[in-house]
Amino acid sequence: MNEKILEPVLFVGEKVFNFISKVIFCGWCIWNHICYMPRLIWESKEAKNTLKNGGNILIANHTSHKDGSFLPHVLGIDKTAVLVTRKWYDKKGINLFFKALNYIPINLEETDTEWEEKAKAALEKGMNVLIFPEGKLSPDGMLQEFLPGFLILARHTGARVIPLAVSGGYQMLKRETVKIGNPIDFDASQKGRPSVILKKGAEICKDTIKNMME
Amino acid sequence: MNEEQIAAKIKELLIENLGIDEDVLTDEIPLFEDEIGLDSIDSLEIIAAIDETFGVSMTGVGKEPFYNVASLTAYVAENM
Repeated sequence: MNEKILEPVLFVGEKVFNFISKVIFCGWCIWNHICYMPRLIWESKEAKNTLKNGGNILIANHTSHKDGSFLPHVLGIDKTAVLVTRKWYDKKGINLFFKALNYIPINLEETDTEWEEKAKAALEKGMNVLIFPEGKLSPDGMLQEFLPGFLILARHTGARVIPLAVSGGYQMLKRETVKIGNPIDFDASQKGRPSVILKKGAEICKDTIKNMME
Repeated sequence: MNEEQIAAKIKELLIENLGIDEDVLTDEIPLFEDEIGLDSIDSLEIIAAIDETFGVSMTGVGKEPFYNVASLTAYVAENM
């Protein structure tokens, strides 16, 4: 009997909490907008349309923890799922927001495939999945080696990979620029050993973002 | 499906999906050491192929079942 009463209460509670989280996140977005005045630069109309249609893998350079909230804000929080490392996802306090919003945890210490299932589900819903292929913050702003895991997702789903280059350093009242490139021309589903093919693909993706940053 | 059939199917997947030389691939040869030389990104491909073919999830399992074809076969047979 108690469980029957508790179930709808918990359901409503979760919905209310998710709503409050979104309101707080929107407040954070407005703050972002005022402080960092985001500017989007599209490489072409194709890039804009591709992103708008959804179902893409977005990859970006990673120089600040703010990237993880700033980019979904400028790209649409309901249309963007973000991969976050498990150690951040489980951090007390902020983990409530990660869980309420569209963040997908990935454990880089173990063979984790749950993230891929969740990312596939997000892509199927028409969301874009944002991944920072370096797997960690860059200490000096220079691009580090790209881990090829994001291309496994491309290999298994056929999703296009769209490069983003973020620059500006999140300085107060200075513009933060996001360049959005055309889908990267690399066939992740080609036959052969992923550790060889996808590493080459990851290098192509890294070079693409590097060129966009220049 | 018996263990022999499972092993044959796993070999087929490894040859087809990972480009492993058919002549080298035995039940006992270690997959992640020098001769075959797979790495962690390849294990994601193995996991996806095993899930799709046998309906067996390998998410969160340790390294042991990936040691060779025999250990993969044993894991699939136990969890099918």
